[in-house]
Amino acid sequence: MSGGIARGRLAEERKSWRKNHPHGFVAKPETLPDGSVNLMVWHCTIPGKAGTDWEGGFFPLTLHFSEDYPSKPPKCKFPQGFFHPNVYPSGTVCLSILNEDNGWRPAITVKQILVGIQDLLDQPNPADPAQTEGYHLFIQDAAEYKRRVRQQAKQYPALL
Amino acid sequence: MEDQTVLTVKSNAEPEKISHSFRCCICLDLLYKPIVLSCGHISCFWCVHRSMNGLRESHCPICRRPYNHFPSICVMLHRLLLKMYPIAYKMREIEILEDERRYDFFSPQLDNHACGPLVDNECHHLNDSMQFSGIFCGSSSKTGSHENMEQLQPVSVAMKNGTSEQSSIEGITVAGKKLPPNELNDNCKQISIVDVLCTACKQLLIRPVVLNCGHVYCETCIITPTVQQLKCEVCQCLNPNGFPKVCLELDQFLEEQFSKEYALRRDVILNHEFATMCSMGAGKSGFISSSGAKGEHSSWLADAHSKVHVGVGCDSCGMYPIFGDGYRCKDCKEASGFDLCRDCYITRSKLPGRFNQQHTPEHRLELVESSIFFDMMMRYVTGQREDRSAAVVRADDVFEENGSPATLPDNAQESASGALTTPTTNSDNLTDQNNTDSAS
Amino acid sequence: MADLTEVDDLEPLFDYRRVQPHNLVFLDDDDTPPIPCPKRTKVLNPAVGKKVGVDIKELEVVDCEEEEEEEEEEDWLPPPPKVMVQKQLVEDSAIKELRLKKQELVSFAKSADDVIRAVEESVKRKLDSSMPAALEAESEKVSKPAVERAKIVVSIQDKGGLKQFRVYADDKFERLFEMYADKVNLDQENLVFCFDGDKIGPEATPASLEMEDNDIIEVHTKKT
Repeated sequence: MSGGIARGRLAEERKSWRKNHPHGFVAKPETLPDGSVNLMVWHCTIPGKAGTDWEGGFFPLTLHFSEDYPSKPPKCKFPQGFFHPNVYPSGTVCLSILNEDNGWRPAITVKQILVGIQDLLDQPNPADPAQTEGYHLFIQDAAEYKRRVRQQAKQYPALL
Repeated sequence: MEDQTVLTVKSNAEPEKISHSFRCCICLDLLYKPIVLSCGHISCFWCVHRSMNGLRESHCPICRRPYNHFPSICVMLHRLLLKMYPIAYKMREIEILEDERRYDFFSPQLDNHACGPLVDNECHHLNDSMQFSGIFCGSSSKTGSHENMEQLQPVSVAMKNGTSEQSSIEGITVAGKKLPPNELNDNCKQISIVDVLCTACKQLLIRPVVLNCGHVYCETCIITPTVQQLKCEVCQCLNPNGFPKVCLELDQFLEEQFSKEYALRRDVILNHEFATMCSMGAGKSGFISSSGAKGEHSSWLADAHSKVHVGVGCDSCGMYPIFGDGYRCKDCKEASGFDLCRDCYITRSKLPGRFNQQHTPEHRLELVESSIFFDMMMRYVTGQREDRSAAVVRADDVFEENGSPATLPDNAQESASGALTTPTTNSDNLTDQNNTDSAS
Repeated sequence: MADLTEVDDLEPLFDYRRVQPHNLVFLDDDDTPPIPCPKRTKVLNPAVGKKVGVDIKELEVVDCEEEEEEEEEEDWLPPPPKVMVQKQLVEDSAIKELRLKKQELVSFAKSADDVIRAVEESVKRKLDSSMPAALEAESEKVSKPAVERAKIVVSIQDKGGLKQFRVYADDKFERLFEMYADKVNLDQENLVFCFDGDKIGPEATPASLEMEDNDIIEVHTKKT
């Protein structure tokens, strides 16, 4: 049977998210102009962790699910040019648990993905750089890196 | 999309709260036809099947532990869930059956109301009932699920000589009207120790492990052979994935549901184990190391001679994909076909198919040639060449070395000279194997 | 790298606390960490809190109804939700029609009774499958006095944890917000309430936002 369970799983993900999610996080399926809901694309917000340079920022992240989900992980994208050593210039997040051949397991939930990415923000992985700017500053110029991170956090204030 | 909305409406109407222990980690819904992997993690039949890899070994959706065999449904767990969540489980059945009809691929139909372990003739009986529902699928695939159930009903009741199937269907009609909570409570209370007995000792399961065939044992009740692979005492099926780990979700459930009895059993077993611990431990670890070499085929990609039947699984032992010789039934007409691996072909397995095929022992099987083109493609795709040369560098596996005389003459000579020191019959065998394999 | 794969593969994966950042105090579903496996309390007491969910039973559920009914019941009780009323009317008439039809036929011929019952059954079944929600609403109404309005439990989550409130689904949020501000001793001016990332206006109702039982409203404190 090749019929995907992506939508069924995503509907369940959505249901459980509404009832229980970490404070400050947002995750909801995209609403199309005609008012219908597209479960395959989710718009999310990840709050910078309190007590880190990322605090105060509410970073928009888009999850693109394929019909093969949850066998295959979703593609997670920050806005283009997002400043972080492990985010590609296109905005795609590079993280082990989001890699199909590496750490991805179908049991990983949207919530775990988002919390995992929140952790990644303040704990970049220098072994797996995805952009030159963020990587070089992180390795070579801690002060400037810190400044850039704080500046970026201000760029994404709470929408309230 | 439309289907989806129907599903959510349905699930809103179901009154049972499902414990997190019994939610499938893949579809996040109530486990349906649960399968327990050798690592002890549970998932639905279709969820496991879909998450398996048709090209190479698969990984547990929870812990990524590799495995090669698609296990059978754990019938005990299936009945337990049906008893605990009769309404929700029936709804899942309706949903899944609709899907199965759409794709003309069916999961094994289990007798929901029998109490004993699934035995061979029971399987056949089930197959028969599936034949009937299969007929109905064709005619009623467009109609709503409730109507389908109504149509199916007389048949299955007739089949089972008036078992209580009817009443469970009534349960669904009740679903929309919201059962009072005490009634739900009763449903959960129905579970008794009889539902969760060990296949071997016939007592309450303690630290349950589930074998590839779906039978459940206490961890301590499994007799570990020192030489052979682990075998199920009930159905005599080999358990290919090494010694299974305890199914913790089930274990914790049992401990809470039957705390008194569980504690009692634990004490008895602890005392017993204290006496035999040394021998047990030695036996087990010995088995694991031997199965690690024999039972796991994760290295087959590195072996240039293995034939892979991509996307084809053995209907007896569940090996998926089949590697080595594969046999296909010429008489099974189902879309899924009926295939056996070499071992199961030789042992003339009489098990029914994994997808409700109407296979009988009278059917004729034929050897399937795996396509050379595909093998070559696979080698490129998986970067086999690097693998092979790497294997030669390791030089700890004579088979692999022998396997590449054409491309790596130096090594071949080395191994050939090495072979001279060993009995000649051995090297003859190896070259024979090479010839036949390259011929196919 | 947040390497989830390192977590012991035998532990339940859906225990979200595992991936919660440590400094984010967050009351999860299971707020009884000392018990090794708190989520299974559900199995043990399936009867407790069928509506609220056992997992959050330790949270205080504030029932707005009781506090309000004493003082200003008449004032703020608007008519029941329109959607419900309409659906109920449709069904009532359908069932009434059937009953009339049945009586009529019974008087003509007793033997026809069975046929009618069958018809009635099948119609009911169809209704069941087509509008389970509506039927559910109806059966609730039947069992309880007609004045009853649909209620919903919403959770309000701040950085420290979750509080639950039982409110009418058609009740404006301003009342709930007032009550919440009172409870936490903060000026309502400094509180922002969000659902799904969107600010909730005081005029909105749980029904207008299509909220379901146990949905979370997040409360953020404005920086002063």
